[in-house]
Amino acid sequence: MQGKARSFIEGLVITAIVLVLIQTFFEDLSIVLGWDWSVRRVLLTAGFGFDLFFTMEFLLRFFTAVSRGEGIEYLLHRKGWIDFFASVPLLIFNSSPVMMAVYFGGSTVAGLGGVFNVLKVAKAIRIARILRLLRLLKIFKQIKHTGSRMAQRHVSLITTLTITVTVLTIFATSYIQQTVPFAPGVNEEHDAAEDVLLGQFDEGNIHILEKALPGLLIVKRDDTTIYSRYDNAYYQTYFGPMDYRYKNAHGYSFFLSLKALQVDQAKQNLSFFILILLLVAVFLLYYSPHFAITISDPVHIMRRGFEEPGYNLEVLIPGTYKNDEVFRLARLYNQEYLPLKERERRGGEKPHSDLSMDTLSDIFKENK
Amino acid sequence: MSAEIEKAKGFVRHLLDNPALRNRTALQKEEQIISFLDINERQLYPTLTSEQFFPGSSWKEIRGLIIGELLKITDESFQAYLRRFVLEQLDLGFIAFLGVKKPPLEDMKTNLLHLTAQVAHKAAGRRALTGSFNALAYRLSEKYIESIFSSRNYIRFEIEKVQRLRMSKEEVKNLVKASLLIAPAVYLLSPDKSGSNNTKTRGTIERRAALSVIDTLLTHLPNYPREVLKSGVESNLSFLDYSDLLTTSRITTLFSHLAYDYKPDMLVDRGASSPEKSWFNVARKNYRYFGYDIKMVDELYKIAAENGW
Repeated sequence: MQGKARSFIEGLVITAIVLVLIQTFFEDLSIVLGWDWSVRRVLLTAGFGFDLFFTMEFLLRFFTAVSRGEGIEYLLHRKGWIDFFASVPLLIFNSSPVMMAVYFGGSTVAGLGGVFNVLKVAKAIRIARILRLLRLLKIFKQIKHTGSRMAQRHVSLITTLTITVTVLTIFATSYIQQTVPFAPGVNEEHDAAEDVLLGQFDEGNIHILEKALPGLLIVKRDDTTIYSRYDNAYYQTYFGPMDYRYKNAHGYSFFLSLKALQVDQAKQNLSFFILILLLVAVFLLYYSPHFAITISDPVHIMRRGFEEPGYNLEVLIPGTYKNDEVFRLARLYNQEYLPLKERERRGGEKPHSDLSMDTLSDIFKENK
Repeated sequence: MSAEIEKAKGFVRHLLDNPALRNRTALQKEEQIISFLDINERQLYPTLTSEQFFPGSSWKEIRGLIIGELLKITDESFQAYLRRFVLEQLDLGFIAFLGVKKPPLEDMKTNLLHLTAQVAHKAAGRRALTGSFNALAYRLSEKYIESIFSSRNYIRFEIEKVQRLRMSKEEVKNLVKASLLIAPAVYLLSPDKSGSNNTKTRGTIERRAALSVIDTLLTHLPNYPREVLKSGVESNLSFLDYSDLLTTSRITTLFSHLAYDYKPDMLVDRGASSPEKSWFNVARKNYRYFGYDIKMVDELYKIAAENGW
């Protein structure tokens, strides 16, 4: 019963990992393709649900391991750290702020502005989202891609190292870019130009500003709208609380779209997602079979030959790898050991049988 | 006593039903079970002397009882197969091509069956019969001789030009099958396989002994041409010692040795050679030791490799 519950939970976790990867992909794609806010809200809510699920999964696994005195073992050797980085920071820094903005930020800019400093939240979210790519490792952890434990461990190690280094490098560089005051780049120059333009705003040059700032959505003075790029129905369909920011200057309130920023970020995220997906695919589909063919398979065949008296299959030696240490050993096995084994087997008195004592376990048990 | 026999029979049946022995021939199963008993004597004895099995018996008695029942069961199936094979499948028509006019084929088949039954009553003969029997059951002569005749290489040349067999490939196949059945007769008629230590270790005999076996066999198999008996008996000689061995003798040796431990349902691990290709390649390294004809082994190795056997 306990085994069934465990396998049900494991199955649930694997399903959730597959679904969260799909959700991650579509969340970014929805931004790039400019899907309706209602669809994006469903995706964001699903993202929060997954983060909550994986955080609970991590906490359950961690505290179960701690209760058995295996906390460190779980975190370090059973890759609990991947479970941690792919859940807790995402819940805290990514999906919780998004959910608060979506459901408690209100539909007015004033409400949203009152809850968060929007840019800071957007930056934190942007950085944290990268950690979601570590979830590919979670599913990799579950795939039994080869029968050899050695191959599993080696392929898993190289995949984990490559993906972790890639994700953490992206994460660290993003963090540094957001926090260290480097010399102004394109974005900073754009922000400065925007500040100047907004500072010089008066109602007479509104059409110049409309062209100069494609992100300008609405201008208000004393809660009265004096300019709006789109009608209210458009805003309701395509804009969510996280899609714009708010700025005050000279008694005017400016609502500026964050969509261009989000699209750039989503494009980058999709590129990273595809990069990491391809890395995992290459390790699974190319490196893992390569490792099996050149290392674990010949070792497995030789082990069986040494262990099982009736096993006399030779190792196939591919011409390309014939000088590898493993295949040089295999050549000795084929040319020296197997012939000697055959001589010993045919000439010797030592019996061998493919039957084991397990064969009788049932009738011996019946008769106990 | 009958209760003990029933227990022994049940025990044997249980072992015979083991999936590890599925698709093996009766003699292979028998050998596997005997080896199993000998290897696991220490573990089996305490349980088999419990109240439920054979209390108070010595290991020798228990082993004798179990093996006795095993041999009975094996004999039933082995003899039935052999009878069916010899009477229905083996075509002795090739004898007409060896200078015997109007051979009494039915009598010859009965004599052959009688001979193999006698051989099977001796432990060493039974072991030797395993390779021959397996080679027949797994139809080795069918598939290899078919391939040999589809090319014009060494073995075909040896059959047609050296041994001068003026017969079709079907007749050659049947000659090899008859050779396989006659070959273990050396254990019936020359139990010690007299010879030097070297030949004993390799399982070969010397020509002097072979000639004596052939002479004796002429009384057991009166209508068989000497060449057929020679083909079977001399398969126990080393080609390295006697380079004039008949081609069919050399083929018989290789087939019975290959088939001895043959596992038809063996799963080939990824990265491993196929079973028969592996066996022939090992045989290439061991040809001096076992007295094989290296050119013949090379050709059979290529056939196995080309066909993925």
